[in-house]
Amino acid sequence: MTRYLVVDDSRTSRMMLAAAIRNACGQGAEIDEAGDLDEALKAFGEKRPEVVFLDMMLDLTRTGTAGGSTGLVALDLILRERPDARVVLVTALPADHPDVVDAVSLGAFAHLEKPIRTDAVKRVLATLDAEQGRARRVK
Amino acid sequence: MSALDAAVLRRLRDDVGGADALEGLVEAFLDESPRLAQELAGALARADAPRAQRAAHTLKSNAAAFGALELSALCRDAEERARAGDLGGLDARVPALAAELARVCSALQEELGASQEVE
Repeated sequence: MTRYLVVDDSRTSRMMLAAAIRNACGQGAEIDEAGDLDEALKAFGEKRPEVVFLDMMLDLTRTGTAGGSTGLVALDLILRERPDARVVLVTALPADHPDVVDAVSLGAFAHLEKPIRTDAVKRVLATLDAEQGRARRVK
Repeated sequence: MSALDAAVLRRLRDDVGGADALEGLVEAFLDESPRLAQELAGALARADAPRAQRAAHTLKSNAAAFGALELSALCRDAEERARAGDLGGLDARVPALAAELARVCSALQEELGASQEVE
């Protein structure tokens, strides 16, 4: 079973995305939630999620790391910790926005546009499944 | 004009897997949104544009998901004004935003009551 981590400083947004993931892949999905960068890094280390859904506007100011594109800072820290993690950026920005393009070039696996739709979550999960299938075949 | 777009709210219910999941989300929105509006007002009082922008951004996104389109539009305007540093212009619009938020919360509470009566 794939383990997911949903990172967003809005509890409503976290619940919405977690519910959409459950709806897309079944009630048995293992989903952890984090409301800030510290919680995210702790959960990432302890729960070892394969997939992280990361809010691009994650609030870092509460952790004293204000400034810059907050989602990109979090993305960088997560991928430094485990380069094989799959990070899906969640944002209201369109896919061709420079910040999203930058994030993808830094190693984000995919981009999910808010408001979250189950169909879009399913597409991302299907792409992940296909990629993992390819990786298994290569091994 | 209704505070909520019924079609968007129905789509959200379907997206999250039904009425029970939607109920939990409505409760979370009712709990979180007034705090975000307070955060916006507090940030304005401190002339903290980045914090005001962030609060408006989060409220905009959540409002859109629930079909609170007028509230979302007011928040988008607030976010853009905060980004541009137009805190005076934003301050003048906060009462309208607060009034629309109250209208949305009231409509969502009605939705919550109606769905609990069905149970």
